[in-house]
Amino acid sequence: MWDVFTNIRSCGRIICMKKADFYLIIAILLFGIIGLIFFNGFKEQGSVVTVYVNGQIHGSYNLNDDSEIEIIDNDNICNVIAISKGQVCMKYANCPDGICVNQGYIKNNNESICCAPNKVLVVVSSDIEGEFDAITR
Amino acid sequence: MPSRVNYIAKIGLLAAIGLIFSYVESLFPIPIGIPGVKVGISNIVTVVAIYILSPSAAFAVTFIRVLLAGTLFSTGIGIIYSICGAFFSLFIMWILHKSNRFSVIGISAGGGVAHNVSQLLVACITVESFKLLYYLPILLLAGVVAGVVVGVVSKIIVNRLMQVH
Repeated sequence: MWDVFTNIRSCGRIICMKKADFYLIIAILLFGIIGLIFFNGFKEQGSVVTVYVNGQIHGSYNLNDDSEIEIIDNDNICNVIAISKGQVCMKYANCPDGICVNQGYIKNNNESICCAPNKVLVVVSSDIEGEFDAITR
Repeated sequence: MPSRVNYIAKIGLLAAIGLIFSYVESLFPIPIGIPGVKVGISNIVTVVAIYILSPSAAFAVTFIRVLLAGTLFSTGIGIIYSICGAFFSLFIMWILHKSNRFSVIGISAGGGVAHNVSQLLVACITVESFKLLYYLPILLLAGVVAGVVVGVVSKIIVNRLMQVH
């Protein structure tokens, strides 16, 4: 079993990595790590929740006020967004995959919940002006 | 040169295995907030098909797998997501394979990253907002790690199958 790993460099009979593989993997890893550090440098507790439906702003809500927002599409409730204790989550979605519901609570700025089937996007930002900073930087 | 029937049978076999992998994957969704982002176990089948058959056979295998998995395990927009992801990743893997500079591991890492990036872009287009690009670094890292693991597994499988040939 161990020769799977020990032969990576020596181009042995099991795994044969070429030079280009190393460069590709290291380049992507670097991009990812730099991006992660860059984004997390701006990480802070958000205070405003903005809900977008079909790319249009549906409404902005204070993250510290507990509330439930219902999004209605064709007379049916398609999504319910719940804000409680400074966190926001997708409480209900009528789409079959339920990825947005499984994502749970988010609270930091720039974090988002996306429900693609209903084109609903929930974004946390530190303040309303902060949204422009997020675009320009 | 294997016979035509042999070739078709192998495509069918790989597509069937890929379908099972897709099913296993659909049981463990990754709660990262982007629809369609997966570990990419079914990518093993595509990589193996590129090596033991040909890139065009890999296209056939992917097409059959995505169409069947889409209609069986997801609905509506989910099919579009998986079609975009699978073909974009196949396209990148085909280019990497054609350049002749990469081994199985590099090709599969490139394919894994391409799959995740394409899912993110499709999600951005559907909700008409680029705020989701916040998740790009995490998806790059997840894609490359999963891609390398898939590549190691695929390499072992390709080696075994080459002995059978």
